[in-house]
Amino acid sequence: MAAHDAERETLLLTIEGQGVLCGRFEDLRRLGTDGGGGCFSLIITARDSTTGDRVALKFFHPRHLRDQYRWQCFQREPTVLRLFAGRPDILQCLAPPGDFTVPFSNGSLTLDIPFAFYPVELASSDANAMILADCWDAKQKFDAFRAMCRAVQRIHSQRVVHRDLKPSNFLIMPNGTFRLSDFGVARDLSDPSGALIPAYQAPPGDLGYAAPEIMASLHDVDPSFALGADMYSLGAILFELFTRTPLVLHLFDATTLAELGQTMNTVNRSLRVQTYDAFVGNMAAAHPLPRMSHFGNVAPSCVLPLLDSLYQGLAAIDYRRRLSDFNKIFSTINTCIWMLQHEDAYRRLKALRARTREALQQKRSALLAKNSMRNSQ
Amino acid sequence: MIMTSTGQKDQFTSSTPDPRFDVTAPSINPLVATLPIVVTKVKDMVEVSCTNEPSTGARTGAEGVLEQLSNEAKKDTLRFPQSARAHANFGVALAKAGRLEEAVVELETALSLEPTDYLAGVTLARVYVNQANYEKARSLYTHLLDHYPSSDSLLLSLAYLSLRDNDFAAAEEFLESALRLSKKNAFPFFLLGVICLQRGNIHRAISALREAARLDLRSASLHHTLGVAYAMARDFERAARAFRMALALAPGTAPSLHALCDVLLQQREPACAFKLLKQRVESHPTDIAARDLFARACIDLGKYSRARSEFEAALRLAGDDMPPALLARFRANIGIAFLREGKDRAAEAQFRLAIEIAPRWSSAPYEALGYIAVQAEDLEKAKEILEHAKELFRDSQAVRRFLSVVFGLLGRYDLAIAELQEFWDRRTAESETYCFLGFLYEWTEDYATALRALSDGRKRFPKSPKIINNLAYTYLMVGEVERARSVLASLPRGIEPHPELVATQGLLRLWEGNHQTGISLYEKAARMASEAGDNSLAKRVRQKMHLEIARAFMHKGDAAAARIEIKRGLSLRLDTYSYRAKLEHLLDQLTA
Repeated sequence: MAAHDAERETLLLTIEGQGVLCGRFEDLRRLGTDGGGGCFSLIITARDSTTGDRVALKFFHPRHLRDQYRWQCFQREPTVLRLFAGRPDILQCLAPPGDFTVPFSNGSLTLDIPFAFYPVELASSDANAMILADCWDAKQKFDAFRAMCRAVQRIHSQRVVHRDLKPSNFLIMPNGTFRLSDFGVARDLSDPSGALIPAYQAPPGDLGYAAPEIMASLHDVDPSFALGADMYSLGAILFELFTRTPLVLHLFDATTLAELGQTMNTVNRSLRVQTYDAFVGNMAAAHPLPRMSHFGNVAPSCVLPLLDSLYQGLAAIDYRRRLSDFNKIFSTINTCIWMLQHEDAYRRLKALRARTREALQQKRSALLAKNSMRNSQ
Repeated sequence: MIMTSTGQKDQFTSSTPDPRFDVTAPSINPLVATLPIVVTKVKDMVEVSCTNEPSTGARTGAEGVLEQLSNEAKKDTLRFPQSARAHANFGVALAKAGRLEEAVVELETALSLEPTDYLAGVTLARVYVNQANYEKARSLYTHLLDHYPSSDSLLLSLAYLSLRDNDFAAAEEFLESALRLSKKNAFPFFLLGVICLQRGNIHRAISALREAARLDLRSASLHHTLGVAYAMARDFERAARAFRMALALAPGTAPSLHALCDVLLQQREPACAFKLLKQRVESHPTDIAARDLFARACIDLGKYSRARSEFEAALRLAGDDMPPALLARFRANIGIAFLREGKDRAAEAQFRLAIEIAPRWSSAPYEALGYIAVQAEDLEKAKEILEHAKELFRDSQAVRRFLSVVFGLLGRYDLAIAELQEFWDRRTAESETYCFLGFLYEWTEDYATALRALSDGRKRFPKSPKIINNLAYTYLMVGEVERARSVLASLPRGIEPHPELVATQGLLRLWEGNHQTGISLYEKAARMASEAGDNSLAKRVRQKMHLEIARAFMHKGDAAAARIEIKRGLSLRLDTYSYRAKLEHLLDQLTA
């Protein structure tokens, strides 16, 4: 670990010492102390001399150059981002990818290390940081989630699946808007040659937000399974937004997750979906999604039932029962926001409804009693 | 016809442990502290215990998953060292991975940053429960309850801990508080059901568990627990239905399958259990409990050789890890399979082996050895074996009854009565004991004491058909026909007629003067005994019939007809409990 840290530090210092990149990006400074903390990337901030704005340069970590899959993922990201150039909610790629090489010598041996990068907008924070800092109220959480859903709706409408949705990939810009980022494992479903590898041994993206069918490698059989899997990730994010704890830690036990992957990988591809469909219903019954109310006072009680039903619909274990209608999702979010904004009015409305129901019930029972008396006479 | 307890081969069924069912709490609320529960039926009592077997982490193959989850959580703690929630999440991940000590450190860090962090507090308390540190867990839950009074997770966890300590009142109080918050959650009803089971209130337990299953229809563990409650209430039909439902929701769940098959065997549906268990044993060859049940089903189906090979396979699988009591039980069951097949010598060897392995495990092998000795007409040896068993199992009424039977066969009715008298005196006699004691007094013509013993027995076991039969018979022997009729009328509905009962009904008809029906009922009883393979009982029924018809002719003054019946009775030769002496006495009376 220490060797890796030293290596990372050397690489970051090397990049910071480059002066001006592409004749445009200057004043290179690492993001945070470790350049963003990503395993496969190094993030450097720079000033874009053409606009005067500070931007982020995402570098591929040279140590992983031999990892073909990761390298291809890095190359694919700006390509996918270009599909959404000028579109809101998606992180913008500001210029074509660039690169440079730096010779590193170790005694008699000298190696030219390539540094590949592409420039993107610089964010001020991400949703994960906001969740952990607990600085959003319920309405802000719904607003944030609405923006997240909008971003996913936008990429899905172009037949692009993200496959690594998680709070830390939703960046918050200095003006408070959200950007969906990290398209490294994203896939354009309309591109028939979009698959980087013929078969996955592990789910692409973060395991903590991966849908069960992705754990079961159904996306290997049909890549469009990732559309539903993105919805599951949104459900898991919604859960985490309010409870501030990842859903995966409270849903499956690790053995179930591991066995799911191991078992399904041994099933013939042609039978995989059929096999999965045969047991996913029972798996869902055995792992009921927890209610948010179990995690303390996560939201005002007036929105809890709707909130639970929204997250449980999105994160349904059985992909066939999963909520994927964005109109319905936005409508539920808007209702929740309305309820929060008009909490008192909503309470009064609810009380009025209860009274009306009770009065109706009384009227009905009185009528029944009257009828039975008449019959007995 | 009075019922005795002479011991038939079929009486020796495979030894089964006390009905034991594993119950897992439904995974409705991941934050409630739960421990696996074991429900056992010991005699008429239901025992509920929380097993002290906390989860030991994940099985092989899951380490990679757990490492990934922990690493992600750890990253957040490095990025946001002052975030209590980041530490809490890391603690949850570590606890999930079974790294409890490290989890405690992280969760305590979270609580030091934010003393009322709900997730950190609840998870730390759950870790304490897993570490069997119940006092710490309780105090943490109580502390959190001050800050989150409307948290049902805290109330239910506290109820669970109280249940573990057998503090039912406190547990119920916590549950009531949880139910006041919401009646729509299945979990409080589940716990209430478990508490009621432990308190012996099975009907309330059933109603609570039914409500839980209604609220959470798709929870297999709730249906399983409901099945356990039904099994405890001996409502095997409903129990089987609930276990089937649990299996439909979670196919292949071992505890539900074992419980269903156990219930099917109790319901005398071994064929159905055989089919289910055959599949299970084939797909899970190392499931020893399934093999045990499968072998028992084989015995019930008369597949003795298969049963033996299954028991042997289970013994091989368990190797040296098998507890002596279980090993002895398997050996005894192999013996039962031999015995039922008529291979007494091989059976005897197995029973002796079982006794050698665990002499105090159960009286069953001693009784079986006693039976083999009785079959070999070696009554002294049987007496010796059973007297030794009596020393080891002083309170076992089954052993004492069998010893009493042997004394009876030896003609020592005084000793036979003395063996059982103490249970009557102590008011601890089982229905079988009352029944046999009543028979012994009746046989020795002490009708008054017989009636007292059987009446006491009827008070304690008002629905016991054997006691009812023997009491009615004894009333007939003292000429109280009306009382006998009313006692027989109290037989529970749906009782399968057995030869002794049919014979008693025949005797009643004879006393009522309806000779034709009386004789035909006696004939029917004899036929039933023959068909069941009990020729000795068939002969006794016939001999008794001739005795009673002779008495009836004597009442009428028809000495010639009485003499013919006596001669017919005397022509039947019986080794035990023969009516020869009574017939001869009647003949003497006629001659005089």
